[in-house]
Amino acid sequence: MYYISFLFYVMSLLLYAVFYKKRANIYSDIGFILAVLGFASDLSRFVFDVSAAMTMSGTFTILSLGTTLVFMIIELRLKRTRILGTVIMPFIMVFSFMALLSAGKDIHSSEVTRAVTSTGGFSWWMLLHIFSALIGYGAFIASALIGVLFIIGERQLKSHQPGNLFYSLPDFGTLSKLNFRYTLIGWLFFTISIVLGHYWFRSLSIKISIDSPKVALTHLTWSIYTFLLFSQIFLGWKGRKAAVGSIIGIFSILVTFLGINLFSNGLHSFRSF
Amino acid sequence: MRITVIGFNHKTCPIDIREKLAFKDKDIECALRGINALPEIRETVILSTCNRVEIYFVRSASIDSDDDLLEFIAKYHRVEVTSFKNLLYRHTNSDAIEHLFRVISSLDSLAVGEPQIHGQVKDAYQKSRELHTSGKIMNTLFEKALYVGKRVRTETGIGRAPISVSSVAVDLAEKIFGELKGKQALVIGAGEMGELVAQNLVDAGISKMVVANRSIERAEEVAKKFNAESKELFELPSILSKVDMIVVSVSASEPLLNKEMIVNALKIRRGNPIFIIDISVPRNVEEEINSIDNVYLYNTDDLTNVANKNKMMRSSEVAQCEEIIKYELEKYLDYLISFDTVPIIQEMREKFEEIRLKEIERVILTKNILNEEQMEAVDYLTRSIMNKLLHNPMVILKKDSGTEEGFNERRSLEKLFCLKEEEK
Repeated sequence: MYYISFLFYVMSLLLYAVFYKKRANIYSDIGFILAVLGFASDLSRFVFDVSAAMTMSGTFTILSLGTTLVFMIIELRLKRTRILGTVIMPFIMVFSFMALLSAGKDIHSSEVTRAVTSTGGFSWWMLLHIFSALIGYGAFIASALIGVLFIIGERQLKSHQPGNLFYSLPDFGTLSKLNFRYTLIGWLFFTISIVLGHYWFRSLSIKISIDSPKVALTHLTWSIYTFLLFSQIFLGWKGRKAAVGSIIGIFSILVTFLGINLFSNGLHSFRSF
Repeated sequence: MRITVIGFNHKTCPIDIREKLAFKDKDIECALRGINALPEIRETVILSTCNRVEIYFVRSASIDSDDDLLEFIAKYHRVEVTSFKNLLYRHTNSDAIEHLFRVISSLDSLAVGEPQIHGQVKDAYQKSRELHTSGKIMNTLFEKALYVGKRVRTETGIGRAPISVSSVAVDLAEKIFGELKGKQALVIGAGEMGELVAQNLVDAGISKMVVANRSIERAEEVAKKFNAESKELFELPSILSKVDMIVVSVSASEPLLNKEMIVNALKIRRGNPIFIIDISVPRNVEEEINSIDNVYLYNTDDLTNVANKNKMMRSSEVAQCEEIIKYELEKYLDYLISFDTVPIIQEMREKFEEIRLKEIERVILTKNILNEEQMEAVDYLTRSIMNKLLHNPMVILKKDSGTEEGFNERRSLEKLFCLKEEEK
């Protein structure tokens, strides 16, 4: 299944690359369909086994799923962002590749994994926690990538050198709106995911400690995005500032999500104790 | 049948002659019907724009010369044929089709990549359809041309970036704000240039405008024309926060807009972007303003540079457009081959098959002299002879399709084998 998803994403990326070069919509259309097929293939893993989300490869699959889901929503709602595919697909492909690399190498020995296994492997809290995290991370990644597009476009405009990419982008108003909207969606789902995670851990009788790097960094990430939203709504952060904010936010996500999951012990860790 | 285009454009014909030979909208019906009534002309489309007059028509390949059409044009416009004959170009069949594809893709336009030509070709074609002067061949050709034009426009950057200074300014504004409807503009300076800019902004869809000038009387005069507000220059600081776009076209010894003024305006605007165009010489807006977040400053040179760069960008896209045109032309020519040869090939096959079956029935089936196995052998044998006899004529018909030779060959076949006329 990993191979199939990865293959779909690679083909999709190639087609988006051809689209960028040739500007023929047919390539981006097929690329989009292949991304959807990759998404379906990834999703089928969790349909058959929800606890797969607790593995390292599952973690990467969640990232690719979330990103693809948000990308699909943007593409379907706003066809003019075809160019987004050329920026977002490399990330999705990397996540999928990491899932492929780590497949079968998971060490099911973290506190959570053991607890999940001992309670029969399934919980609605867990499902909803994972689902909302999936949407949240995807939305944050999308908002960051939209931010990147904004910064590239703005740089060309400021330097009085608008090029091909500039003319391919939607207008700045739309990019800013999308950047804000996906940050807001990400924040909402991320918040829901934290709350649900809290209840899930309680249902597993696991104590949540602020000392846990994952918990601490998750709250730090949440604070960063809360501040970013506050600044956009109340301090008038628009355009470049908002775009930079969403890029900083995604770095925080990467540290929280990948760094902690891969390199530390404790909740969410895939390392053995 | 032969597809032909006769015409002249900005490259071949001076404007004074183009003016005389242009077909006006109200007269086009008469011209279309007149041309369609010429001997053996089956279908006609007239494309008449500021830069070109072209007549596309389908005529029997048996008629070599189109001199009668030239005479019609001369009579219609009351000029001598000799006054324009040498300025004309004439393309037939694949060359005519390629020419149309290049025209609609705006590769043949004065400003390469300009978007209007697609609509103009579409209108010309629709007019002919309405008047029934276009038929099967022209309809498929122009539908295909519209598709090619659209493909070229969407798949290449030929029309993506604007190439005139005023359209660059409007395009950049649309890139910053999305649509200009609902946006407010401030025009500083009510001279001739300011008035021109105000007109461009209104055309671009700006909802509200303020005209500021040293002399309030002149500001009022210009503002009145565009249903705008008028202000004096000392009122500028209070207006800046309310407008999205500022166009400065006034001469002053000191910059009228400085960084502090814009920073203050931006605070009140809660970071909403401001686009400033300084077309005054010497410049009247401090250059550092461009370094402020969400403020974009362009002067005349910047806009001209962007326009020039866009022109170069368009030129670099031409090769890709040509590739699309070549590919679509080949596809269309293949289609045309099947269009005029397939019906006659089918008819010949049917005729031969009919004869074959009749003879089998007459000689063999009625006398009942063969068993089933022998019958199959006879069937196979006669079918094989028929296919071998038809093979060469079919290959030659396909090869000569679209040429005069092909037309004559089809005519001969119709006559020799008593087939019904296929070109309707």
